[in-house]
Amino acid sequence: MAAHEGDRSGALQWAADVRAARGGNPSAFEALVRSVQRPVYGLCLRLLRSEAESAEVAQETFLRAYQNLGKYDESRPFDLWVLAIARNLCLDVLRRRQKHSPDPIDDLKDTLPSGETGAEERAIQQQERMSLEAAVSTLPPEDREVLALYYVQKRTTKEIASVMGVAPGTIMARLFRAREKLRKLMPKEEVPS
Amino acid sequence: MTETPCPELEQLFNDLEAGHGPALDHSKGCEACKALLEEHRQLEKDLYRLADPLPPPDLVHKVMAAVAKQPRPLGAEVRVGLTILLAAGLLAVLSLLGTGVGAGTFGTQLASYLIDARAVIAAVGRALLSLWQAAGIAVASGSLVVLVVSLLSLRKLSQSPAAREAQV
Repeated sequence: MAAHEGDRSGALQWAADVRAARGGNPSAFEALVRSVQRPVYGLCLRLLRSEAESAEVAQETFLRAYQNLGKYDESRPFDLWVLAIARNLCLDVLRRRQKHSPDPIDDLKDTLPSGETGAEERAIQQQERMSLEAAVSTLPPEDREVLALYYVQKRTTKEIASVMGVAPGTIMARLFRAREKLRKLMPKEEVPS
Repeated sequence: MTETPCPELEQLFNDLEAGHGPALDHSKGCEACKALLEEHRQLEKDLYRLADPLPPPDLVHKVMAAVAKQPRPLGAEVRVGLTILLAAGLLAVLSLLGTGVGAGTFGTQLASYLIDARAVIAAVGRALLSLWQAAGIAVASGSLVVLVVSLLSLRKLSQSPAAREAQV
């Protein structure tokens, strides 16, 4: 119940900020950017595996969102709409990359964060996460994308389907296949829970 | 004891999601399937611990600088202009009423003003016609220059401070 209420108040705030931004209020748009910049940048980084390109694409994403605020449907969550824009821009970049020789990929092990726990356990978990992040970064973009949206950003299958433009029923199958590929890449050792 | 072959992994997970099914029933008695499910469960746990990275600290600033260069929405400017016009009109009406003229006298005053205005407009028209006949081209050119300079100055004034900063 509390999560739903939080979602509703978040949605109402977005709607208010969008209306104000449409009216030409820059502070309102800045508030919108701040509220979704982390998931947008996170998705870009997982897809593009380059900090510099991800920052550029994230910036372009928000500019496109601003330019198309008039077309935004307020019944749709603002963050999902912006994520869809970011995804499409990232796919454009990936398609352009395929035409040229592949660029060296930034080492994401030092970029992507670890969670918040403490002391020796944190060191072990850091090691495990670096290994997991490294494994995730070797997967194809569509697998990285669905894993990032589901596990990292904690989106529902319906939300992920909305961002990716696919039927919700396909998401669990995609998740399973991505996880299975990942499982085969991960070293088989005991992982303390 | 008959051993059924292990099902396809995807079928196993479909059954797991549904909460029932032959593949799921099989896995309850199969160590290999149990181990596989456990590996996936552990992997999910680890995946849930991953987090999105923090964006670059200057991302918002760069976005807002780019946004400031965009043209302002037309609707906002029209609304502001109309609001100013209405406010000015209301102020004029209120000040007229405030001088003790009264609503009825106000109507008479307005009517006589409009009648007088017709005469004034006609006189101005005749004056302009005379001016045109005497020095039309010079007047037109001078007026055009004044108009263009005014419009350019107004346009510069109407730019937001952020846009001016971004240009710098």
